[in-house]
Amino acid sequence: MRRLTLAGFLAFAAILVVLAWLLSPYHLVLASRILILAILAMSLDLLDGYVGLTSLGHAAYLGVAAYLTGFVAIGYSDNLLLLLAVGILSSALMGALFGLIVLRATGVYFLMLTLALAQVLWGIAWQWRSVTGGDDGLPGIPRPSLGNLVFVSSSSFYILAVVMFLISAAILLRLVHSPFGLTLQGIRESSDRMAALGYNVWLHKYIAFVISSIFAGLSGVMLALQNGIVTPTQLSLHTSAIGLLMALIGGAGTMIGAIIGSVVVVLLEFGVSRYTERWITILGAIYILIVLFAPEGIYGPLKRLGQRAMAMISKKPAMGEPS
Amino acid sequence: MTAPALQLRNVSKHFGGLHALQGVDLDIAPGERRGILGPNGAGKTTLFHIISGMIPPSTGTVRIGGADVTSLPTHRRIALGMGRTFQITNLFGKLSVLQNLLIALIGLAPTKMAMTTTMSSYQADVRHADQLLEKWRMSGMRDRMVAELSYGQQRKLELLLAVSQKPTLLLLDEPTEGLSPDETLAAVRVIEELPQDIAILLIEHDMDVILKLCSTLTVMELGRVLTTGEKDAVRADPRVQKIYLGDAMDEESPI
Repeated sequence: MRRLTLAGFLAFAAILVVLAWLLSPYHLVLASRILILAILAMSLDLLDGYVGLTSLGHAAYLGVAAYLTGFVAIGYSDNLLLLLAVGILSSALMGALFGLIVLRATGVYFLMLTLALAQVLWGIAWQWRSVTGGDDGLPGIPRPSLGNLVFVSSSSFYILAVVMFLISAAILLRLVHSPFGLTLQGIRESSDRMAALGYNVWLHKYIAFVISSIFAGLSGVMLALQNGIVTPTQLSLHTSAIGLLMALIGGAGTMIGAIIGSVVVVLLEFGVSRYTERWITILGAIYILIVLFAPEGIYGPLKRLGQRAMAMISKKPAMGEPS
Repeated sequence: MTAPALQLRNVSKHFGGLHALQGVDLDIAPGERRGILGPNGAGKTTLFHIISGMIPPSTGTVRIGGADVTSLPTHRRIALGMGRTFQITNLFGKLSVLQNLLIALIGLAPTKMAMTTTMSSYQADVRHADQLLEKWRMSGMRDRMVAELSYGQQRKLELLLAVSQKPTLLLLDEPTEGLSPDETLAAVRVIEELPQDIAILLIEHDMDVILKLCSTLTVMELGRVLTTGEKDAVRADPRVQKIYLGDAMDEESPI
């Protein structure tokens, strides 16, 4: 079974790589954005789907990493490893700091606290023109390089996005299936019971929160490098909400759902925004429909369909059904 | 002489002007089976919360196996040998029976922090869980989601989770609450079969259950310990009959 999962993952990776030669430059930009935002969506799914903490403030970790990437790339070096280190470290520190505050609450209060703290950072980025450029942002961020490799073309940057995405997906999928991942699900189901079984519930939540912040930060580094500019939008509620919607639309608590959610939302963003500026409204409507008719998200029904198809092919009953 | 499994000294709890507990002393010997009785509002639940570490006492000390745990959080007390069940069943409903048990089994082991290997690769823990399920005759529901189990099965699993950590002191908060007569009998049998070295502190409203399981009783009233002793002596105590039974005398005559 595990071998099957690994095979599936490698096949998926191969398809992503091959796409670099099949897609037009325009579609490569789109695909890169999907993969980059999927990292954000997965980081939110770790919290929402596994720990049961709904953050509406992950723009904070994405945005801080994006701004620091901008500062370093413009003023110092475009070395990819350095930029990744700066982004990951800054978002980890930000998550470690904010986590101390927001984890004092749960449920909707947690959501409000994460939102409030992110809005503080957004306000700073907006007001502090001399440093952040205000609403003009930080333009002129160069594409990163690594030795002789320069990720300027849309296909080379796409490959970079694929690598970052695959690393993130592999780590997070591994994490949620680990003993630690199981304890996170236990906390989601009943934190009182976890304490009564000897768990320091706060510590597990805190570690998960910092890990989640790091992946949001990675997403921020890549977003800054792809766009070539960082603006307060990266720190705004818009970014937090989009990431969360991706995780929920796809199906919380599955990781794969977060990826599907990213595909749906980015395609919607590019497709619908050509015809109307109200694409967010349409996204909202889609979210409501999914909550009403497929509360577990898109992935759940898709998975069952796939299992039924597999069962038909192999003439065996699907998993979980009596023979 | 070995330290008592649980020792409370002069424990009080005030909620504003309300004295929920006043100067409670309690000594539970290793392996003792103690029932706590008392009318509603006697302070039984507050006492349980203080012993398990969910709320701090206003004054007094709590010792588990001789160690002062008064200022320790719940999870640290579990590591010192305490186990507990809840009045309301709050298991990990969306996880399988096996996953529920694995969470309990790794709860006191460093394994719980492992992030880079899958849970299923911990063969020893999975085997241990399977053995326990076999012994508790729950193998058939191993891979079922806990939310799908009957209430009686959930209560049994809850007990298994607590016992799987090999506690020296087990707090049972109304373990037969909401069970059918048959399920209650089954639950009593399971608790009776627990290893004799586990000290049990039991809150239970069903008098048959408490008399079957416990050898010593503590009766509480208005936040104080009214009396403690062998169950027959306590049952015969006229103060207990008068105060604890109150108007219930003509109903079922539980004692």
